[in-house]
Amino acid sequence: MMKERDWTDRALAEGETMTVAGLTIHLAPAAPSCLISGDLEAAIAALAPGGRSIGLFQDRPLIAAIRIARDRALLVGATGEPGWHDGYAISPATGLYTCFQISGADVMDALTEGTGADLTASSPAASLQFAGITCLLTRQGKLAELWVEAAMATYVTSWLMGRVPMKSA
Amino acid sequence: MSGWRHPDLGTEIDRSKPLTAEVDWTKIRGFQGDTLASALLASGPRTIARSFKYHRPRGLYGMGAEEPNALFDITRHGTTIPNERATLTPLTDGLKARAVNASPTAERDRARWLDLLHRTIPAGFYYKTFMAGGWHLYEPRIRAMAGLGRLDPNTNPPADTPTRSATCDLLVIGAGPAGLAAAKAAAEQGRAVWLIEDATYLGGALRWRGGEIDGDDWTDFARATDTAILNSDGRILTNTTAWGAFDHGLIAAWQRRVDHDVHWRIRPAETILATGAVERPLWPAQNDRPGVMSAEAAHHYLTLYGAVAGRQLLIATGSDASYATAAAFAAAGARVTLADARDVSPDAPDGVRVLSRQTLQAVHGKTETWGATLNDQYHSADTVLVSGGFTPSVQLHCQSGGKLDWNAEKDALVPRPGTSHMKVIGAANGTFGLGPALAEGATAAGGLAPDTPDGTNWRWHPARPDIDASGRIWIDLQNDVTLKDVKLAAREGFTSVEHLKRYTTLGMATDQGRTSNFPGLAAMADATGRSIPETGTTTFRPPVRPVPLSVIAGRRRGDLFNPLKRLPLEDAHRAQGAVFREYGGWLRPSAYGEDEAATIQAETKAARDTVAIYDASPLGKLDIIGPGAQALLDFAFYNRLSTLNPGRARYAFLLRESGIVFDDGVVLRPSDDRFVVSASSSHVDAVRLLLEDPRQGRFDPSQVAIHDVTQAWTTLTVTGPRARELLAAVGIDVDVPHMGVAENTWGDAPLRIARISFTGDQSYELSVPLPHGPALHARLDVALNAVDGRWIGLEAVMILRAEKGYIVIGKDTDGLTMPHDLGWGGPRDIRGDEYLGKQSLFTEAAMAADRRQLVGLSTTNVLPTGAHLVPLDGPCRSLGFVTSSYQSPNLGRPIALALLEGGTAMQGAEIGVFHNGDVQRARVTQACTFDPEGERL
Amino acid sequence: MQTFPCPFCGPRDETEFHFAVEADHPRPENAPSDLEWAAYLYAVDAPQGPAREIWLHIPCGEYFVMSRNTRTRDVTASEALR
Repeated sequence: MMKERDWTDRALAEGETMTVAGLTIHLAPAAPSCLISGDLEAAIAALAPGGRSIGLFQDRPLIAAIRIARDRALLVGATGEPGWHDGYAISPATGLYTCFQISGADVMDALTEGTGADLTASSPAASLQFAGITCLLTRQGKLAELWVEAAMATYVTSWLMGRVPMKSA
Repeated sequence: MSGWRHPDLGTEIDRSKPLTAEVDWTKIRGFQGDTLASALLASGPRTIARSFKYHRPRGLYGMGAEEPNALFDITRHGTTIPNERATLTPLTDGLKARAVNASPTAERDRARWLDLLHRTIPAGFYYKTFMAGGWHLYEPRIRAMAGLGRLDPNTNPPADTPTRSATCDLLVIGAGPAGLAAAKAAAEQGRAVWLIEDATYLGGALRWRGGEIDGDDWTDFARATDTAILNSDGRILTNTTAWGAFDHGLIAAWQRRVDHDVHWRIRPAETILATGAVERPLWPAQNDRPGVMSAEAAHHYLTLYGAVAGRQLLIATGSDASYATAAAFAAAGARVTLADARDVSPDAPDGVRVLSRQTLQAVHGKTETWGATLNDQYHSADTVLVSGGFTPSVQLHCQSGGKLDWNAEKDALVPRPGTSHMKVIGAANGTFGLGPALAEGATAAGGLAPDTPDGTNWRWHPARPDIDASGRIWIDLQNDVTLKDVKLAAREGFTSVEHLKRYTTLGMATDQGRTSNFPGLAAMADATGRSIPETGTTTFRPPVRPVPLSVIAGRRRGDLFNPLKRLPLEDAHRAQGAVFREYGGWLRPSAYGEDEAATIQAETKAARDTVAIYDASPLGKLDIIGPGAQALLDFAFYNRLSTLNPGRARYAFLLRESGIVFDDGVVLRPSDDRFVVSASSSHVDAVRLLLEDPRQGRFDPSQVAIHDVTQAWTTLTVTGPRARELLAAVGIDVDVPHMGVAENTWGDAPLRIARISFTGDQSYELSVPLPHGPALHARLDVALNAVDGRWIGLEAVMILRAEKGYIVIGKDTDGLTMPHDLGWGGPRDIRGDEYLGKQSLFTEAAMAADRRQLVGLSTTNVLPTGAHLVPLDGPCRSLGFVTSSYQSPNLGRPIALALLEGGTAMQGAEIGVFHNGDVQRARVTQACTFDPEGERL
Repeated sequence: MQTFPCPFCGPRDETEFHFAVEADHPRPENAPSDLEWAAYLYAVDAPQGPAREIWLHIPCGEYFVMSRNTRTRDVTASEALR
């Protein structure tokens, strides 16, 4: 058979931190999570009372409903029984998303390299195309949080680690 | 009789840092700050290039992107980049340059005799000649003789150019006087201004012409602009070319830096264009001789680099603006004659001889200039500087949809206000002269016009190629297009500028018509008795100047180019010795052993002998949840799913509205309110978005949810006669009926078991949430060894399913396959309710008897996949093709699946299989060749 | 590169979007003729100028109606489906 490309890059491991030039990248441990759809307010009230819906590059508390769409969110920090619950649906999804926590001097450089979306525009959805794939983007203080579906974690690691830092112009 | 280095002049070179470079194996010297062009000019040799078609000797003409002649293959640190312009190449120590299209060197080019044949190779000669025996006989040699640059196959530029998105309040493109004035005025009002400039320094023409602004030297004004911009949160990018204006105001800019380039995508709230103008040449006979230069370019080299074009200069012009150039050369010690086309000329500068009412008729020389003829009189000169006016650089305005108007007073095509979203100022807007440019720039940004004593009148005497003149006159130097070619195009009916361009190739070279578009359209206008506005211009498209593909491709190479999805258990599989390949966008084990062919056969056999496990995690898992789920699925799927009982699974097809099969798979119903659609791993997103369409459009989305949880679960499929034994040993309860699904636990982990078979043996798909995958894998691995089982890769799975005649979408189906072609006509015949694609299943084409249908093929050897099926007698035509083909270790013979015209009715018949000119025989069988009764399930 | 407005997420680069189909072409039901069905599948108006189109915003998965001018590329409106 034909010799194919040997994919040798690897993803950051959970809890691992790496630094390259002006960027520190840490893979947050997976918190219990689920996808919720439908009446999001009712879902949050039932699963994570007091929780909020978080949009693009907005500050996220530990328990939060990261808004993916008008009627769909990733609830991080809480989960529930799968199925229909009187107005909303739950699918357990712990581990579905990998969370890259990014800090350092080059954070904005890296983010504006990944997306052309206006991060200051308070978009209600945290979902976007980043580095060519669909991701979620939130914040925790100065940490940028990039949520990537598990199978693309290796690619995003390579993308972040292989960044070419700009020495001051 | 050639260029020389002035001992003192040169504002942008550092004489304390000398550099050496090699051009066509000849060493030349220069300084830090020189370009290759300025160093070449100062070094003396006149002939530095050979023209594209005629291989005529050529010298340096211009100073920037408009340079038509000085193209070189540049080697730096072992990397060779072809077709770089010497004018845009900074001189670096050890740089090696080779003239393109010349062998062995530009001076001694072997193909220079081609010019003798010029009468036989005018524009478009290849449409009329070199026909006998076919063009393919002549093409390779003709292409070899006319070309630019040589590609070094070893050149592999690093993928280190990031693309950065940015927004700003005001983008000013160009840092000449107009751009500086606009940027400064805006920044002083507190606006965030981005100023981008092509050159290394701000100033534009101020850098060589100089000037006084607001009582100080222009450099103070530039510095103040710099400060104002940085103080109001703006940015200045030099060595940056705005190369394209795209939709909705997006500007693409290429920034060249020492460490690595950056590609900018800028969305400004407002854009001001201040890109200046390019000097036009004049068109005497033999105007392409080495030693003929743009006057503005020569002035540029003199001031910035101290590279003096010659010692005996003739400046042919029609404007006051060239007088400063003449004065500068005279002050530098050259003998200068200025030939003014106008009746009345201003006073001659010191040391300059001025002649009025002059017409430049011819240039004389060969590999250098000897002199020129003006008004039928010969004048000696080693350099002829020409100035025929200026063409505003309006490309970005036009790319944004802007229109141009002919302004006879300015002798230029200028932007029509309001036709693009950009404000155009300065020379780009036909506003020539320092005072007017400063005023227009400041006003555009709502500021006050800076002051300058410079009152030079930039009006010039209109200059055009004389279509009645004799002698060889070049319009496009780089593509070797002459005035005669333009007249030829006119005679042959190619009178539209778009046809003129493509017939003669005028304006299609790397200088993109900067010095040739205007004279070309003017000559065509003359030749066809039209005005310039009537003749029009060609369309400007990005890039404004050549941009390396590596800049646009950015970092998308290697691991970042078309990345694959990766299995959570990848390391575990590697530890087992798996060889990985790409399957449907995922990296998956093909087989667990280096000798793939043998390993695949052994795995396929083991799967039916004992038990095998494969990683089925990529198989899509779309949760469909809610009271509206049944109605949505009944509409979206070909097979009714509302009748699927909880705890059961059903094989179903998704059709497009055209009736074509889009996906197949098993739908599980773990509980009353939940379905799980197993979308094919290669297009899970597509299936999800196809289902979202009716969910959002036809149905009420608040009653049904679609969750893609494919990547939240690890799925390992245990298959084979000893599967139950293995699972019992691991403590997994396997009391699940065939095509059933159960949700249990394994330890503290949720476990879903689906008893679905893709292999034809008893198969159990075990799914656990991602965090529990490694534990399940480890436990199964131990148990596997105990029952003599194996891990198997995708290749073995592909053979196992083919033995059962199970299809793979897109492999055993194509863009025409409907469900009844696969033997699934039932739902079509039974269902009265509406579903996706229903109407298309009843068209004449859908009901035809000779449709291609899925069959099996029996042969003596493994058929090539894709081989066409043909009749054994009669005219040869394609009846279909082989879709899957393998050696089956379980049957001990080759097996194949195919789509065959009318195949269902041809059971037992023989057909031909066409491959590489040969036809072999095959017998049509059922698709399922192993255990057709399904007893092993 | 255009900017399109998703009715929920707001303005985003055009690479986040996918053109689905021309708007205002209802699905013919109750046994349409072959001609009606073929028109539904394949006939497009492709107007030069104002157009109403159904687009998909990929990151959030919402289908919506966008009104835009196919000649000038101006986007005039975007509305949710319901």
